[in-house]
Parts: sequence; structure tokens; C-alpha cells
Amino acid sequence: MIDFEDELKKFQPILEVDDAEDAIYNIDAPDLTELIGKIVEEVSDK
Amino acid sequence: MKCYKCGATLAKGSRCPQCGVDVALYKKSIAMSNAYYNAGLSKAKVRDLSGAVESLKMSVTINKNNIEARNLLGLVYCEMGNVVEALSEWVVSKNLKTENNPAGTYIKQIQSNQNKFEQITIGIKKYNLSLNYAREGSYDMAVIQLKKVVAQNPKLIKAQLLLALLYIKDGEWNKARKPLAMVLRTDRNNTLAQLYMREIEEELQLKKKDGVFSSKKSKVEDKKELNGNDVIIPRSSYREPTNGAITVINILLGVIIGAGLIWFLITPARYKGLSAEYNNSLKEYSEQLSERSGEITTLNNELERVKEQKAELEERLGAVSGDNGSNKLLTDIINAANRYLAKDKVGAAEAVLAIDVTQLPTDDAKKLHSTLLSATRTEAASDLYKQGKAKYDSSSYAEAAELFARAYKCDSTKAETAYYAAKSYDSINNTSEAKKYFKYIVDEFKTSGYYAEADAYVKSH
Repeated sequence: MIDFEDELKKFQPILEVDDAEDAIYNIDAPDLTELIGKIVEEVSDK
Repeated sequence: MKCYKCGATLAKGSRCPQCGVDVALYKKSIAMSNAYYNAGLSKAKVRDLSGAVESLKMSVTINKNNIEARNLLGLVYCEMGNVVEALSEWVVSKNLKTENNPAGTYIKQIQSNQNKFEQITIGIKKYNLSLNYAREGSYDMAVIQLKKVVAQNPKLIKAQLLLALLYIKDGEWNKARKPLAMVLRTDRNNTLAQLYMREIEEELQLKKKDGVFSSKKSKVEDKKELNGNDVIIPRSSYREPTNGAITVINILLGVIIGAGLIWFLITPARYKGLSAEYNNSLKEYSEQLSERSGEITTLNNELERVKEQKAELEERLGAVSGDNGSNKLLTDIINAANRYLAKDKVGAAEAVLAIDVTQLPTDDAKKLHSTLLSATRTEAASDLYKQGKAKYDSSSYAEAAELFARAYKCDSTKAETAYYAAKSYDSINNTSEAKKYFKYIVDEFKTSGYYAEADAYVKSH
């Protein structure tokens, strides 16, 4: 049996045009390869 | 593959051939990103869009420079109705790789169709509004908005799912099926849609079972015993005709009656309306015509008035500069004076005699007229008489007649001038002129020697 309230919580608003700028900035965060690169650099410096 | 530090092309080893940095882990992470991309691509091909999104998001999280994964993620988002998210991915992709990047084309295609983009963004706003309504408990409002959204954007998966959920909440199982079917058409393995669909099937199965038991139960309950207060109503024996031909005939009759109604009721009204319109137009044109006629009459009257004014002005102008105008008279008296000064006494006298002294505008002009006349007429008359006599003696009677007439005009106190004028006209058989001059002698010169001859001529002619 479906619990309506629980199911409703799964729904999130869709991104609107006004929010696009923030979304792009968040996408541009460092990825795993960059983190790996930084870790390797720190380790090799040590 | 390029080195993350110096950008040099990497070889098979675990170190960069240029800068020497350890690239073993880096290579593995790139490989993992590519693997996730491949998985995402496989899922997208079989329309497992939700699965593709998960794989592709993992791919770009590991390696944000995986342009193919990012572009494909944008495409999947777009297909699911999340256009803004799709554009965000493509914008980042374009920034990371500006040339030879299909993301630029995708962005242009979206931007080129402004109407469609507008429709999508409005749909997204309405969806967000509906979600708020649902969270606040205004389920009816949410359903109304969502119906509009899915009508315009049937591929907006979240809207379809929310609508289905609201239908399920109200127990409208069959209504909930349609949006879920649409979701599964777009995104084959959508987890929520499959979950809701299973729920609906289970409920419908239960309902079906309950329906069977409840119908049996109602049949048993229907057969109650009759008591004294019950009224038995006999069943009617009327049956609707089931023959197809009768149905067709009924339809034709209906059409004929409808056509008759239109002909007798609607057409006259329409005709009346058209006539009224025609009459109104006619009335309008008649009014315009009357107005124009009135204008024409006014203009004609104005024209007549202007013509009268013109004639009056011409008359006044003529009085000043016409043949008897004061300007002309003054010019004539000046001419006469000039002739006198040039010792042409005959010309001066005749010019002065031609002027009507009463019309001269000034007293000075009248005085000049009188002076010139008295100074010239006697001598002019004498000269003209002598010339006329010479012509008469040489039998040039026509010329003589004219000269004597001019002489008599200058000085009408000489009987012989009138006599020879008469004789000259008589010689050229101009009886009327001859009689005129003989009459002057009869009237003015009764004591002259020419009287008897003049009197006899006048009486006989």
C-alpha cells in the first residue's frame, strides 16, 4: 500500500530558468580525478 | 589521454613522460568514468532514462571533463522534460570544450524555438506550483494544474508521476493508469511508475473480487417479502423498435423536420436581418447624398453671389477705366490739348467735341475742355468747309459730304455748311442724310436763302 505523504516527499521541484546560474556553478565543482590528483600531489610532496 | 598536470599525451606507463607525475590512479578514474558512460549509453538506448541518468551522473562526478557523458546526460534530461538541467549540462560542456562540441548545437536548437521553450518553462513553473498545492493539502488545485501541464508537456515525467499519485490517493485507479503509461513509454524502467502501476493493479484485482461478492450479496438482498403497504406497478408493454430500417427512416424524418424548421424559422429571420442591414446601408447612403446635395446648393449660392460681386466690381472698374471712364476722359482731353499745341486745330476741335464734358471728373478738366473748344471750333469749321467746298467743286461728293458734316459738327451756326452737306449727300443718293441736313436748314435757318429748296426737299422725301 502506497503512503501518499512518504511518496510526496520524494518529489522535488524542477529547476527553473532563474535557478540555472546556480546549477551551473554547482556542476563546476571539483570531480574525483581532480581530488585524486591533489591527494597524489600531497603524498608526493611529503 | 592527457596528463592532468602538464597536458602531455600519456603513454602506457604509470608516470607522465613529460612531468613525471604518478598517473596510475588518474588513469583508473578516467577508465571508471568511461565505464559509467558506456553503461549510461546502453540504458539510454533502451529508454531506461532513470538508469541512464544515474550512470551518467556518476561518470561526470568521476571525471567532469567527460564531454560525451555530459552531453548525453543533457539529452536524457531534455527527454525527461528537465530542460533547464539539460541546458546547464550543455553550457558546462561548451565551457570545457568550445570547439567541435555538439552541446553548442543543442543549445542553439533550444534557443531557436522560443515558443516551445516558453511553453516548457511555464510547464515547469506550474508543476512546481502544483507540488506546493499538494504539500499544502490543496489536492484539487494540484490536479487541475497538473492536467494543464501534462497536456502541454506529456514528457514531463515528474508531473505525470505526481498526477498519478494524486489520482491514487483519491482511489481513481483507472485515471491514474494513463499518466503512468505515458511515463513508462518515455522512461521504460522508471521505478516510481512501475511501483504505482503495480499498486493500481493490486487494488483493481481486490476491487474486482469485492465486486463479485458484493453483486451476489445484492441479488440475495433484493428479494424481500411484500407487505400490505407495497404498491405493485405493472411493467409497461412498450418496447423500442429494434429494426434498422425504422431507425434510418426516423433519422431521415428528423433531418427533414430539421431542414423545415431552418427554412421556415431561421431563414426569414436571417433574410430580415440582411434586409435590415441593406436598409440601414441605403439610409446611410441617402443621408450622405442629401448632405452632399445640400453642400452643392450652398456652393452654388456662393458662386452666384461671387459672380454678382464680380460684375459689380467690373462695373466700377469700367466706370474708372472703361470707354466712358474718368481715366479715359482725362486721357482724351490731354490728347486734344496736345493736338492743339501741335497746331492741329481741326484734330483738337474734333477730339474735344468727342468728349462729353458732363462726364469729366474735375472742374479743371471741364475748364480745359471749354478753352480748347472755343479756341479751335470756328477755325476748324472754316478749314473743313473750305476743304469740303473744294471737293464739291471737283465733284468728289462723298468726300465733300464727310467734310461738310465735320464742319457742321464743329460749327452748327453756318447755314451754307448744312446746305452743301445736304447737296453732297443727295449727289451720292444718300437721301436720309441729305434730308437730315435740309431739315436742319428748315428748323434753324428759316430766313436763309436755302430755306425754300430745303423745305421742298424735305416735303418730297
